[in-house]
Amino acid sequence: MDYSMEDSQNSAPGSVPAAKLGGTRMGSDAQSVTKRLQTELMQLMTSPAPGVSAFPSADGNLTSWVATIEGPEDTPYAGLTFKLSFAFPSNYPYAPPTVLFKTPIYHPNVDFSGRICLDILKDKWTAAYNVQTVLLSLQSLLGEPNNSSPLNGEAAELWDKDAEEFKRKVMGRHRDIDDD
Amino acid sequence: MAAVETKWNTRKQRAVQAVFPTDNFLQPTPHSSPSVRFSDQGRPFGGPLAQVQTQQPLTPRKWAVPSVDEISSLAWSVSPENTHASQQTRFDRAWHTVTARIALPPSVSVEDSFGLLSNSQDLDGGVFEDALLDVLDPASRLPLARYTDDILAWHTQQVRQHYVSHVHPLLAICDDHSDQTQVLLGSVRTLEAAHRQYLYGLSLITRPMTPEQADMALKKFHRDLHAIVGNSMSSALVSALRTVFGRMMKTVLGIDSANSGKKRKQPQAEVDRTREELIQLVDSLCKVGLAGERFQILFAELLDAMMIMYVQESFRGDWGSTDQDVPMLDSLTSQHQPAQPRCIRQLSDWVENHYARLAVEVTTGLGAVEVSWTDVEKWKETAVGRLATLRINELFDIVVNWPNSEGGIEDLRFAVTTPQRRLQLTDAFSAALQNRLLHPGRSTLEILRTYIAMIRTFHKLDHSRVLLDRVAYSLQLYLCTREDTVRIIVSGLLSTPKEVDSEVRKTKLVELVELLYDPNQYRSERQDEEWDDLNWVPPPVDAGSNYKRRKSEDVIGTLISALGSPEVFIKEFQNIIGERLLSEQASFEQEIGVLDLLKKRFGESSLQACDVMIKDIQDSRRLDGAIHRGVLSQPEQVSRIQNIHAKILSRLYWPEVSEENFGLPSTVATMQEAYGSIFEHLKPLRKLRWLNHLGQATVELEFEDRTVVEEVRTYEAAVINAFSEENASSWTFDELWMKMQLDEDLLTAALQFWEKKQVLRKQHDGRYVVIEQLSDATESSSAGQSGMDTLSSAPTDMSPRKTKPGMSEKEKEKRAVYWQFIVGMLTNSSPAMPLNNISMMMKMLLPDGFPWSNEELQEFLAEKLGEGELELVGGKYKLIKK
Repeated sequence: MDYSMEDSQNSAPGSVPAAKLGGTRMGSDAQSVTKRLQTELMQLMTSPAPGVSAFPSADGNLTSWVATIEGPEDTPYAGLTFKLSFAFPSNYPYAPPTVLFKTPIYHPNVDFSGRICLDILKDKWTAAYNVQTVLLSLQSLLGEPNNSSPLNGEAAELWDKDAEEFKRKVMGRHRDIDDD
Repeated sequence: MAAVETKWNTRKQRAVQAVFPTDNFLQPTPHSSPSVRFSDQGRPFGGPLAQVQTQQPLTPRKWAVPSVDEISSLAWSVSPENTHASQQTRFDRAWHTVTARIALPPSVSVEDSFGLLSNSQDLDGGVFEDALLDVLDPASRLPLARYTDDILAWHTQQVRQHYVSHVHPLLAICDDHSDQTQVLLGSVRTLEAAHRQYLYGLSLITRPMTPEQADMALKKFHRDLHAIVGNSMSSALVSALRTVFGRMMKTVLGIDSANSGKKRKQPQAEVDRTREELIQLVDSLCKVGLAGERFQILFAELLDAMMIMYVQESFRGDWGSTDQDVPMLDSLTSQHQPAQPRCIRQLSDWVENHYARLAVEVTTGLGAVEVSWTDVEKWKETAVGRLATLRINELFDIVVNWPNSEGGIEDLRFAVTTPQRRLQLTDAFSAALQNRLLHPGRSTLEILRTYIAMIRTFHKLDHSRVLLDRVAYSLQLYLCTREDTVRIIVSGLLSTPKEVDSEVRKTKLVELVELLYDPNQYRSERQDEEWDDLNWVPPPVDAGSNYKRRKSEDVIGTLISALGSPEVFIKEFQNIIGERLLSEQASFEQEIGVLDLLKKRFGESSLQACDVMIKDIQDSRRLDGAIHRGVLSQPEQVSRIQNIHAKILSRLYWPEVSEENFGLPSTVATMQEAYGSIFEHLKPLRKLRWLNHLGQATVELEFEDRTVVEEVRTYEAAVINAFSEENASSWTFDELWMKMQLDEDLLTAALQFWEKKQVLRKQHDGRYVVIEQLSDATESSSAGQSGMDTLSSAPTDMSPRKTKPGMSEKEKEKRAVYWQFIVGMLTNSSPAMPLNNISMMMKMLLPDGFPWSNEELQEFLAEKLGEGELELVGGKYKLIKK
């Protein structure tokens, strides 16, 4: 007979009622991440900030979220919406989430595959940040790019020199990935 | 020429020998022993020795070969030395004499007519003895006779042939008996007679031998004979043996399948007699050679079957506790083995005194196997294992019958010791659980009750709880799918101990109350301090990795933990206790007691709200008194408030209470105002907000022919009050609704209530009027009755008094949050989602759980569709872009 399944009977249940029963049965790490993310989600839902929103992805995996940022008024991005993906590491919030632009964007601090150069997502990260603060920072980054360390040199140059051309490039690159 | 022929013959012989390598055939057959009987069968006299004995003697064609030898022996016998010839002749003669004497009768027809045993030993004087001596010992007596033979082998061979051609057919006739006993007895008798015959011949031969030689010859003969008899056992005989033995063993072992009732006391005499018979039978089987390997296997199988049967017959459904009905023998065994439960004791007693005894008696008779004490111990173990299997299969019933099945659990506790058996137990029980409990046919109450029984039985069975954890998981999951689980548990906890024995047991989980007050349930659970535990045992080998020891049975704790989190339970507890506190109930000692006990379990802080609730009720009583006293200083208000009493609740600590405002009778409204002003005077920083629909009122109604006094809900009072106003003896539903601004459901409920009380009557035109005289009511009952019936049958009993109309603040907040979730979901996760996915995500992501059913969610989404927030495209919901 196979006894290897015995432990699993006591410890790892099916994943069905994860929210109800899962809490007590998961490992402590996974549990604290889940709990933290649940709290953040609740916070986002009860006190939403204008122009940004985020939600766990449709597959029900709490450690992978999708966020939406509306381009701020009086910037080349006004009227556009941008999708981002958040991937939370297992030691979140002690390590930053991996954030990527899913919607193609023309921006000095974002490269063509959506990677973002933002200090709080790298070495300046602290556990005090959360999804909402990250989204708000990104939103303000749209209006005030950090041109001293660009990922997209051309964009950084254009930003200062030719606002018209910049706007044209932004509109040319933007494409809604919304509707599938 | 002869030499050539001899040479040629020798060569031929070698060739034959190469094919049939039996040296014995080389021995010449004494040609002077012509027995007509044998020669006409065309068979040689020379008997082969032991190594061919197993061959079927029916086809001895190859033995025709020695007839060639006969020729050669003839050739050789004309050798020059005459002494050789004469000695050879003498041997041949002697051989003839002996074989003629011991030859078996040629044919037999009936079993006991194997020819008479001739006792005329002295008939031929000393001739036979002399001849026998010659035959037996030719080496010393006739050293020159070259071709001698072994008379014993010859006899064996003759017996074999005789058995095959004569006895075997007789046995076949015996097999045709319809009665199994007859088959067996007939066969045994036939074989016995044959044996007698065969042994007679042998005894003649062995007479002159030394005792050792004779003994050896006898043994060898027996072995040969038994081999042939044993190997020719027919299947009919085997099955007869099985049946007859089975029957006898059952009697001896005290198993009576026909009478599976309580006590089967066969008279001891009968048992003894059967035992005697059995042993005799074994004895005679031994004698005739039927007790060979096949019989031993058969006996072993029977013993095994008997044990299973005994365990089944004696212990199935016998779960009585240890104290009752102790057999007398137990008083002896119980002294040195007090830990064994009754059934186990009875079983090992049986194994020791009946089973082993029978086995020993039979095997001694067989002489083949020695039964040692370790064998008996092993049998006991096997028997206990059988009992364990039986109990494991019965475990579900044992659980259901708790606590009347303690004995069964004791048995299991004693018998289930190995991890294999533990696994077997949990597997079997889980299967039974799925089949018999966890399906929609069982009410939640039944499931919970079984679960409680499970907790208790498994605690008895295995203090470590490993077994329970293993089987309970599926049950817990299933309980989570039942919506009423929490409510049943809480209301069970809150039922009064007085209710325990009454009818309520059928609808409430009153067992919990008993448990709640049972001090054994509260033994301290210090996890880390095991160093001072004198009863410490290591955790079981099959404990899981996150195993934690628990000492007490802790039914309630286990039940509550099955609900997922204590918060769920506490929330429900608050709701129920809130309902009860607002009821007419005079004292809340039960609730307070339960609360105290729950605090011990969950800690003070988590139940703080309940504390405040109870305190509110107690305070408001005092406050109410104070307000009424305080009013004395303002005499002008005394009359105004003396009829109103209030319960003052701290809004934040109570579960959501829906607000329902409706037009109160002006008198009541002024009373409320006065009361409120005095309250604000006493508690300057607080304000009263009235929950009009949650109160009670005493209504006194005076009719032309009667007076009715009723304790009713406030809205019911308000409705009837409307009828007492001037010029308002009849109302339609809509008029009342407009006037009172009362929720439709409540209004319907109130009207129905008064109709039932025969205070109001609905006329044909839909107007409600007061029944001033009961005779009117009976008069119109024929008309009114039908109307009432349809009314009361339709929606009445969805407990109109309990409905929570309208939406409370908290509910609204909740809905707003849900809406945010849905918006977030549809903005980010996926732009279009079907209802099921939305519901699933909500269930997963909301920390407190998502209480709505799919229908409720659909209703909510339909509202949003109506508000233009959503659109439904192809069964999927989408946000409308603005």
